[in-house]
Amino acid sequence: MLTATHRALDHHFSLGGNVRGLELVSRVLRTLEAATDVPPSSFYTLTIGDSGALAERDGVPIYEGDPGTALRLLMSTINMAAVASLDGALMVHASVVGDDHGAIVIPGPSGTGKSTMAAALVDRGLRYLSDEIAPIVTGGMVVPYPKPLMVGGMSFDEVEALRPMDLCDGTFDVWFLDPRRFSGGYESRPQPIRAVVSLEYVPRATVEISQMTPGETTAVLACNAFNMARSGRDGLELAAGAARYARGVRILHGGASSAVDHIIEVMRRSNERRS
Amino acid sequence: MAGLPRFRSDIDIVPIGDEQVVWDPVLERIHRLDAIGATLAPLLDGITSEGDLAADVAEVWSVSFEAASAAVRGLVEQLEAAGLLVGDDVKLNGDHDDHGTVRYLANPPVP
Repeated sequence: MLTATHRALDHHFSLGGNVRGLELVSRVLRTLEAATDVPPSSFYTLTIGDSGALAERDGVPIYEGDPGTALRLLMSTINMAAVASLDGALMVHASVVGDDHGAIVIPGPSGTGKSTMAAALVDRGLRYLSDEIAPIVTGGMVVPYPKPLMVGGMSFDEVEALRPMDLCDGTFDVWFLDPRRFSGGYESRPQPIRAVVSLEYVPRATVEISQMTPGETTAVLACNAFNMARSGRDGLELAAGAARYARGVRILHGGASSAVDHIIEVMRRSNERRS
Repeated sequence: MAGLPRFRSDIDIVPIGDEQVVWDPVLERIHRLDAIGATLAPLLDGITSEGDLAADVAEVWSVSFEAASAAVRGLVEQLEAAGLLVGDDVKLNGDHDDHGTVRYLANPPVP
């Protein structure tokens, strides 16, 4: 019987491809490795040749072309399967970092700087939980999804210190950062949500911070959930459960580096309030 | 409807603190009612008229009937515009994104 070699939340899958492709995708997805005898529900392959790359799921092509895009779209396909895999959770589109006291959830649509912010925060020693999905479960807890942290070319300058030793030979327009190399490491157990930070990016803006009410915090979480339509009232209750205990903050910023100190301060105050 | 406002029966409302968060499963939108909206919302029961509601508000909050009427009307108008009340025309081609849009039904006039 074929067993899964990797796990993205409750999506169990195996990897394949030619030597070059399998070596690359295995290395990038190392933090999702799982020693499990659960049968895989999908088989992803990456084949890299001299003329380009082919990413497939269960034999169906995902993308054929340059290796960087193939790897990125393969990761996106795994993310979508991960979102659908976990019952009883509100799946919020968010980055998540944390420390010994709990987690900060940073929700927002694509392009608001979530991943860049997560990278900047782990560069400052915070622990990595996810740059894409925050599954919120009962009790105001968030389940980690420590996939490789993906930073786009627009943000390379902001997180230069995290530049990977490989995968930056000019063929990739995205950095796939290995969470095992972060100084604060990555989290694999559910954590209590201590703060929810809503980011608004305006180029060259100076940082402005405002508190969110619990109702606003609930609305921001629910509004950014992938599965709100499916989870309905249960999803709203999960968001409210997190917002009851978490500090909600809205930050308008002009770049990750300008906002990161403020987010760390939010975390510090939140921890003080509980101690 | 204008005289006896009532929430649509398919709307989910979850209280949090002194606010309420509302999920509209048809338009897939999230709304927030602030403390004043959350206080008035349960009274939009299809039985209590806007006039009676304004009279109660005027008495409880010790404000003029006119100020209370304006507060109630303001809330009802916002709820109507959001399509949350029975009889409202729900426009499925709204400007919401895939994840819904936070539409803040905040700050009806403070009496």
